[in-house]
This record gives sequence, C-alpha cells and structure tokens, in this order.
Amino acid sequence: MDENINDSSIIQMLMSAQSDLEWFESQVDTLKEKYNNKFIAFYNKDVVESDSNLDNLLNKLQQKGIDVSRVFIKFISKVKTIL
Amino acid sequence: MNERIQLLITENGLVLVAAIDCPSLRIYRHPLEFFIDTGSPYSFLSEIAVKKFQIPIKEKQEIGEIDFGGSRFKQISLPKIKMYTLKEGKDNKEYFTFEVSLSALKTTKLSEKKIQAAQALPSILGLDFLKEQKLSLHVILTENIAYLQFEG
Repeated sequence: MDENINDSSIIQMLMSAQSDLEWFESQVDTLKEKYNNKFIAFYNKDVVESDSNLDNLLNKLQQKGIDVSRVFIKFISKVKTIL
Repeated sequence: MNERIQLLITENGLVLVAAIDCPSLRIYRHPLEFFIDTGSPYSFLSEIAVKKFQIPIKEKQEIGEIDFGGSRFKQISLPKIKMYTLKEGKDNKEYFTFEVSLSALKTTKLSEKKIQAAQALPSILGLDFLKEQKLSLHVILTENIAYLQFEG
C-alpha cells in the first residue's frame, strides 16, 4: 500500500463520485419507474442520458460532448439481481 | 485504531468508490464503483467499464472463461491498475493507493437480451483483492456501517 496526501484533485473526484452514488441510491426507486430496463448515465446528481442499448448510450454521450469516462453508468431494472 | 475505507451500503450490495489509473490503457484517474463480493475469488472490471474506458480487450490475452451472475464471460488479462480510495475520517482529506490485479470480462452471449443482462453486471472486488491488500471486511447492517480495515 502506498499512502499519499495533499492531492486535492483525487480527493475532490472521490468525494464527488461518492456523492453521485449516494444520490443514485437515494433516487433508485424513482429511477426504476422512469428508466426500467435501460442503461442510464449520471453525473453531478443528474441523469444525463439513457438507452436500452449500452453502445447506443455511449454514442449519445459522445455526440453530446460528454466525457464518458467521468460519468457513472448503471443498468436500471425492477428485477432484483443477485451475483 | 486501524485505518479504514468506508463502503456504501446499497440495495444491491456493498460498494467501494474508487478512481482508477492505468496509463498503458489510457485510463487516467477515472471514477469507478466496485461491488465487494466475498463470493467471488477474483476481481473484475465490468463490461460497462471496459466500454466506458475503451479498453482494447481484443488485443489482450484471453485467460479462460468464467460463469458470473448467470452469464458466461471470456476472462481477459489486464495490466496492473492503480486504485485510489478515500481514507475514512479526517474530513476525507487523505486517500489510499493500491496496485490491483483485475481482469476484464467480455460476454460470450449473442442475443440482445442476454448481452444486456451480462452488461448490467458491475465491477467486482473479490477475495483476491482482500487477501492481496491485507484488508478485512466489517459490516454492521443494524447500524448502517460497512468498511474495509487494514489488518495488523
């Protein structure tokens, strides 16, 4: 393990990511009603795009000029998944 | 007290929030969520992550097939990846860095429905991650607490 401090960009990114995922979890029931069986992309506590096909979703994001690597993408389903 | 990494308790399991870095794959500190799965001996990048980060898995070595989440995947070897996670406490002003072994998953399914189901599976940190990094998993659901703690 290599421990570092004082790199504010990493810390800011991790805190922002955690905040987005907490937002997703708080909104999951609403999102299931709206986006059932779709992939959604979200960032800054907002759904920025959706599609039932992952490749189509990525294309839509690129067409909008959104940095795909910075968003979270999740599949929304009312059916529960067990790994 | 040993140092800890906070986990999110979600509807589908325990989530570690991370940023990953692998210049040889052109991944530069990108955010990613991992599910902690003690039922998995291995750790994987999901197909969503592979596509999102445009990882060129066709050029990478296939090291076998694996059944995961009801789907069969090809397991693709990846170079070591650097992972960053927030350290619990201290106003989240510090972080840990790990070198982790991950493989990529590529579905072998052909029908659109089954491809969608396979693509819906998340990135996983399995028992290999906990062992290599000397981490123990602690979960107290009645208090809504989950964390990883460094052993020793």
